[in-house]
Amino acid sequence: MKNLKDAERLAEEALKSIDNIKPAEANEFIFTRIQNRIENNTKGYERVKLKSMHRLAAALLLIIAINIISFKYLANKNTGNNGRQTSGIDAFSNDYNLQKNLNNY
Amino acid sequence: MNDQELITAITAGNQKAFRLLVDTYKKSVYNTVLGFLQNIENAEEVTQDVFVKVYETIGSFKNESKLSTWIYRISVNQALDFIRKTKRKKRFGIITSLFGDNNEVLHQPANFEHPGVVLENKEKAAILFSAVNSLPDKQKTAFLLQKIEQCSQQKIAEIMQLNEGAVESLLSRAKTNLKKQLINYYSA
Repeated sequence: MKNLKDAERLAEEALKSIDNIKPAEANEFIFTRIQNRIENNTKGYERVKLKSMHRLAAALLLIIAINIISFKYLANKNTGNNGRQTSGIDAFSNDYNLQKNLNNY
Repeated sequence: MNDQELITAITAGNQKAFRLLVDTYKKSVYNTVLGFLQNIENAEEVTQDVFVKVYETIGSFKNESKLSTWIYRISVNQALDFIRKTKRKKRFGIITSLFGDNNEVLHQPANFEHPGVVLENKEKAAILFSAVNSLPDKQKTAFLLQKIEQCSQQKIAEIMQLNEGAVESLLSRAKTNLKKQLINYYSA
C-alpha cells in the first residue's frame, strides 16, 4: 500500500497522461464501407416498401372480394325476403279473410 | 466548398461531396467515438453509423449550429447509445454467466491502450480511461471532448447545448471524481 502523497502524485500523473494525445488514424477504407452500408440500407428500405405494397394490395383485394361476396349474398337474400314478405302478406290476408271482406263491402 | 455548399451537394446526392465530408471529419468522429468506446473495432463500426446517420439526416440540418458541431453531437450520441446497448447486453451476460460452466467471467472489461498515447504513459492512460468509464455521461462527454479532441469550453458548450458555465462545472466535477478514483486505485 502506497502512502497518500504517492497516490496523489500518481493520480496527477495519470490525469496528465493523455494531455497532448495524438489523434488515432481512422480506417482508410471507411468511405467504401459507409457507402456499402448506405446501399444496404436503401435496398432494405426498398424490400420493406415492396413487402408493404404487396400486403396492402392483398388486403385491398380481400376487402374487394368480401364486398362482392357480401353484395351478391345480400342481393339473393333480399330477393328471398321479398318472396317471403309477399307470401307473408298473402298468408295474413288469407288468415283474416281480407279479400273476402273487401268483396263483402 | 463551404458547409452550406457541401450540405446542398450531399442532399442532391453528390457522392464526391459526401466523400469530402467523410474525409474532412472522419478523424474527429473516429477519435471522439474511440474515447468513449475504448475499443478499435467498435469505434470503427460506430464511426460508420455516424456517417450513415449524417448522410440520411443532412436534409434536416437547420444551420442553427456549425456542421462540425452537429457531427460531433451525432458522434457523442451514437457512442453513448452504443455503450447503453452494450451495458444492457452485459447485464444479460451476467445472468447467462450464472449458468455458464467453470464459473468463468464471460464479460471482462478490456484494458484499453489508446494508439495516440506515448509509450511511457500507456499504463497510466489505461488506468485513466478505465476511471473515465465510471463518470456520468455529461462529465465523461465534456472531459473527453476537451482531452481527446482539444475542444474549447465554448465548442463543448455548443456540442452539448449547454452554457459555458455549466461546461466548466462539468469539467471541474469530472476532474475531481477522476482524481478521487485514481487516488483510491493507487492507494489500494
